[in-house]
Amino acid sequence: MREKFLQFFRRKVELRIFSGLSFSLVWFLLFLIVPIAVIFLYSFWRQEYISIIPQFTIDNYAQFLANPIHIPLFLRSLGISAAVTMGSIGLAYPAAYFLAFRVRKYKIPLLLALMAPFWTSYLLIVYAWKIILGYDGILNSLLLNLRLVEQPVDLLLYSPFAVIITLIHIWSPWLVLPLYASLEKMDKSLLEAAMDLGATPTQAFLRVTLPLTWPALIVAVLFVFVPTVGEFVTPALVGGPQGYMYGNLIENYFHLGFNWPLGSSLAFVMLALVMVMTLLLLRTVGPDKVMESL
Amino acid sequence: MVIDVELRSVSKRFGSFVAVDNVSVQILRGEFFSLLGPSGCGKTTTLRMIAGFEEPSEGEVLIGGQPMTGVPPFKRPTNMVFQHLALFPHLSVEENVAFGLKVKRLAKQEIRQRASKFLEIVRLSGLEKRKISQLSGGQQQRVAIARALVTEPTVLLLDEPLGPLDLRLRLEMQEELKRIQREVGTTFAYVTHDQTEALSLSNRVAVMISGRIEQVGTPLEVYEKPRNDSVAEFMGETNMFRGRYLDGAVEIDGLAVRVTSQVSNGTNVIFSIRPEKISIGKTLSGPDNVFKGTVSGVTYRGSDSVYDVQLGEGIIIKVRSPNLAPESIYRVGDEVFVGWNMGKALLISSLR
Repeated sequence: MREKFLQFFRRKVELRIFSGLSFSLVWFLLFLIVPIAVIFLYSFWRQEYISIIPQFTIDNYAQFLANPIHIPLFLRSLGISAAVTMGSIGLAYPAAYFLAFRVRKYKIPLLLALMAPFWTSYLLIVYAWKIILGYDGILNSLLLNLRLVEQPVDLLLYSPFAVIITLIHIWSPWLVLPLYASLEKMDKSLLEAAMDLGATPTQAFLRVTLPLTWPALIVAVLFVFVPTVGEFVTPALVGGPQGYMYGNLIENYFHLGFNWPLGSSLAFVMLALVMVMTLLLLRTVGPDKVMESL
Repeated sequence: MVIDVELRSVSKRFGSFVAVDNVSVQILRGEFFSLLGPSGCGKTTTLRMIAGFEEPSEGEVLIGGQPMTGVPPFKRPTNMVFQHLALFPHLSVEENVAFGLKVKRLAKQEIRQRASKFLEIVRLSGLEKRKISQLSGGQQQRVAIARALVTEPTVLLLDEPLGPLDLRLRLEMQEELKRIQREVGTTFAYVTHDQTEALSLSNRVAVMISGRIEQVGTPLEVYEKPRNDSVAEFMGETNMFRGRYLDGAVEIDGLAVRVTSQVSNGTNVIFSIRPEKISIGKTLSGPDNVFKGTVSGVTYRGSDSVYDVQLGEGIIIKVRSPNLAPESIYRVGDEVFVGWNMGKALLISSLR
C-alpha cells in the first residue's frame, strides 16, 4: 500500500510541486488569508458594547460612507502615499541608473551603502527625523545660524511634509534593488543604437531606457505605494493633526474606539481599492514582464 | 570621385594598448568598402570612431568633408548595423525601423511611408506588427539594416552583422546585402574577419593587422598581390618559404625554384604560392617548375582535396586540386609530381 502510494506520488509532478510548496502555502493560508477572511467577516457583523455579534449587516459600510471624515482621510492617505512613491522613485531611479551605467568599480559595496537605511530600525529613522525637523532641531538651528529665519520654523515637524520625507527615507532603499537589477540587465548597446539613429541622450532615455525598465518601475511603485497607504506609525509620531492618515483611523477604531466591525470595514475598503489599483497597474505591463523584472 | 569618409592618421590608444595605429584611408561614395582583419586587429574600433562612439587619440575623421572631432554619434550622418544587432525589444518591426525618423520628429505620414519603403527594400513587408522576438535570425538582420538605412545616412557602418548566422543563411544574406547596396546606392563600410565574405562583397578591401592597415585594394589585388607576408597569410591559405634569390631562381632548402621577379642576387626573400595554383599529377610536363614528391597528408573537402606533398627533405607544400573523379584522389604515400608556371608565384617582403 505504502509502496503504491509512493509510486503514485512520484508520478504526479503537480503533486510533488505542491508538496514542496505546502509549507509556504499553509503559512500563507494561516497568517494572511485567514486573518483577511476574519476581517472581511467582522466587517459584516456588529458590536454591542464589548461583544461582537455575528449578525449580518451592511451598516458598517453605510457608516464608512456617512462619516464625512473617512473619505477625505482616505484620499489624503492616497496623496501622501503617491508623494512618497514619487519621491522615492526620484531618489532611487537616478541612484540606480548611476550605479548601473556610470560606476565601474565597487558596484556592490555602493549598492549596499544605498540600501543601508533598509537595515536601520524603522523607529530609529522616524525618531531621527523628529530630531532633524523639530522646533529645536538640527534643521532649525542651521536656518537660525545662517540667519535665513528669525524664529524656528514650527511647520517642519508634525506635518504631512514630515510624514512624506520620513517615509521616503524608509522606503526608497526598497526601490534601488529592483531598479538597479533592471537597469543593469538592460543591453547597453541599445543606447548606442538609439544615439546612432539620432536620438539625443534625453530621447534615448525616454524612448529606450524608460520603456525597458517600466515593468521594474511598476513593481517598485507597488513596493512603496501599497504598504504606505495603510501607514500609521510614522504619521502618529511625526504627522501631527495635518499628517493624520487613514491607517491611524483604522487603528483608532480597533484600539481606542473599540469598534472592530467598523474598523474592519474601513480596512477592507482600503484593501479592496489598493488591490484593484495594483491589478490595474500590473495589467499595464502584463504579468510576464513583471515576473521577468523580479 | 567623392570621398564620403576619410581617416587622417587616426590612432586610438586604450591605456598603453594601441588599438588603431596611424590609419589613413578614404572611403568613396557608393562603394562597398570592407575592413578585413583578424579579431582584435582594431577594425571594430575604427568603425566605432567613424560612428562617434570613440574619439581618436590622434588624427581626424572626416565625413562628407566635415571634420567630426567632438561631434556626438547622434549628430553624425552615419548609421550602424551592430554586431549583435541591438534591435529594440520593446518595439515592433515597424517601430524599430521608424525610430530614427521619430527622433527626428518627421511627420507621421512621412515616417510611415519611408518605413514601409525600406521594409520593402529588405523584403519584410507584411511583418510590420511583429515583435522582434518573433523573427528569425535572418529577418532580424533585415530589420537592423532597414532601421539603419531609413534615415539615409552618408555611410552605413556594418560591424560583422552576419557573424551569428549559420553558413547557408550567411551566404543568402551576403547576396541580400549586395542587392540592397545596389538598390539604395549608399556607401557601405563593412567590418569582417571572414576573407571570403570581404572578397565576394566588396569593391575595395582594407586589410588590417595589429592596428595598421597593411593594404588597400580591390579583392583581386589583395588576394593576388599581397603586399607582405601577413596579408598573404591572412588572405586565405598560402605556401610561404624563406629563401635566397640567385640568378632568376629562389633557393629554398636546396631546391631551386625559378621565378619571374627580379631582385638583386643574394637577397633574402619570401616565396609564396597559393595551393590552388599548383598542379599535381602522376606525370606532369609543361609548368616551368616541376618537382617530384610524396603525398604525406590528404584532406578531403568534397569539391576538392588539399594534399600535403613532401618535396626533398624539409619542404612540405600544400596543393589544392579539384576532385574530378574518385579515382583521381591521391593517397598518403603516393609518388606525385607538383608544378607551376613562374608567374603564379610571388616574392614578397616580410613584416616580421
